[in-house]
Amino acid sequence: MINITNLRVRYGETVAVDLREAIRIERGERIGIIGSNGAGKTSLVNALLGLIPAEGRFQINVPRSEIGVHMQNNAYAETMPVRAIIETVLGASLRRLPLVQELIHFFNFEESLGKTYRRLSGGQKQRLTLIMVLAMEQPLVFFDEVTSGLDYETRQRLIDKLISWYDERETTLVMISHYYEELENLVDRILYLEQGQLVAFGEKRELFQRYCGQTIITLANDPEYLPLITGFDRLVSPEHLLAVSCGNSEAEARLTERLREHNIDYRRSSSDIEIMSINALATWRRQNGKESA
Amino acid sequence: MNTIAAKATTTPRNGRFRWLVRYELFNLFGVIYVPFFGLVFPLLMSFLLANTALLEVPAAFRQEAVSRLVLSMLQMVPLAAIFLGHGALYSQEQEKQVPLRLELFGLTPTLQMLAKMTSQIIFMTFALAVNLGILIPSLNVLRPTPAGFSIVLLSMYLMAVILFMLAHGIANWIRKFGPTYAIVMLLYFAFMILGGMMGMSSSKLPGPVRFVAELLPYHYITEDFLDVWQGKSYNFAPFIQAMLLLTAVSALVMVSSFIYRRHRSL
Repeated sequence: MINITNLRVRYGETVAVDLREAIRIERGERIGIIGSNGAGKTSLVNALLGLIPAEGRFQINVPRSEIGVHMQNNAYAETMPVRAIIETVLGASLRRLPLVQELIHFFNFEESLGKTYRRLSGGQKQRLTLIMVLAMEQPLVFFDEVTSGLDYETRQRLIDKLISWYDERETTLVMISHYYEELENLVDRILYLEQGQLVAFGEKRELFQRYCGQTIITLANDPEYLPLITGFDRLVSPEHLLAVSCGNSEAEARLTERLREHNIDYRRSSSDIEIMSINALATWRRQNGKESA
Repeated sequence: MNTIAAKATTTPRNGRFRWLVRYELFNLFGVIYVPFFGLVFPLLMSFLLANTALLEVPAAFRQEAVSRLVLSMLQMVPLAAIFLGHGALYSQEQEKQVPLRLELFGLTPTLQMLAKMTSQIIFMTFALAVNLGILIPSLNVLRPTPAGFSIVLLSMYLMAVILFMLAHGIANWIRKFGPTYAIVMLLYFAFMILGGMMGMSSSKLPGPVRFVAELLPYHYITEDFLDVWQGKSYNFAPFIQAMLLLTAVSALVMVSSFIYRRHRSL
């Protein structure tokens, strides 16, 4: 559905995206694009959509009219009644759009219909665009930071809704997010960018195993705990955590037993995108001779 | 090869054009300056000038002077509603990337532009009807011949399309509300002064300024169109030349903005 042989985006002298590896996204796949601020995530999507000039060989094999896009910022005329926005985008009266009515109910959006766009809260604005994007039921949908600017609870509720909506559908999703937990249950492949270059691309599980092993155990970063994890493979982790790779079940059992003996809380994971991404980045930096940030 | 396989059609799809026109009408009435400057302001100015400046005109010539004034004020409708209104609204939308958002929903720029123009024309028709409906009987304006009335109306609609192109081009070049509003406001008042709509006849302007005024169609509508209105013979050549010049400039501004923006996406 999306083929990239190579792709380059430049803003003046700055190269925002420089992909030299072939990337292929098949119909029905769900891709999470991750990376730090300025990594080139939005530029990559904008280039694919033809919204910014880009060089290279890349193609989306779907007519433009069958691509849904939820951008970071989605604005409409401030004084416009919300109902008029929906009816304009979908080209029919709400009464004749049962799917939209279902979505409005699904997103608890009924009371927002009578307002003008400027009277909506941040979360309601996000839901408005989401309702319209979902209602168009296009086979390929891009989401760029769909929950940006929302509080934790609203973010969780929105993502839960998205998960349940797409659970029953074959839609191809490309989702940019800073929040790894949002991607955990929604995507099956990760495309990781840094400084416009590809750090990693593949199945979530496969990438986890490549960079973290079979499972990981994370615990609070307390110097007193360090002797307990000696002899295990320590992974790069956020400052507040210690992360240990367990290559097999025996190693995991030995470590967890030791932690339990000392009454230390820990968390086990076989899919933690955050720890995977930190270690993928560390490997990429080593291999490419880049300094650590 | 860096393309999306096919572009969305610009043909109205599933009746979306009709809804888009309705959206644009909501948009127009949602901001106070379009109804005010396009509907109320010409009425106010006509009544104000008819009851102040024109009071000194001898009674025998008063009806003719008032009629000339009303025809002159009618030009404010396309100028305010379309030129000022569309320029300000569209630049505001561009600044917030509203047209891009709609384009991503499959509403192409061409479709959006046509819907905007259609809604502006609908609004202008309403504003002209209200203005003529109130001004002709209440200020005792000379009655037009059918041909004269049609030509005046046709001129207003042609002017509307030309001014739409100019405003669209300026807003699309700049894509910022502040500077666009300043430029269209400046041009709006310049057109009104040069076109004799501010109470001073453009034929009384100093030489070089009068030369510029005569390059614009407003001068001819204010000065001469009472003859056209009444079905008298009139040499349209200078007026048509002025219209062609304004059309050429407006088309140049609009087309160049499209070319400029094509190379500077987003």
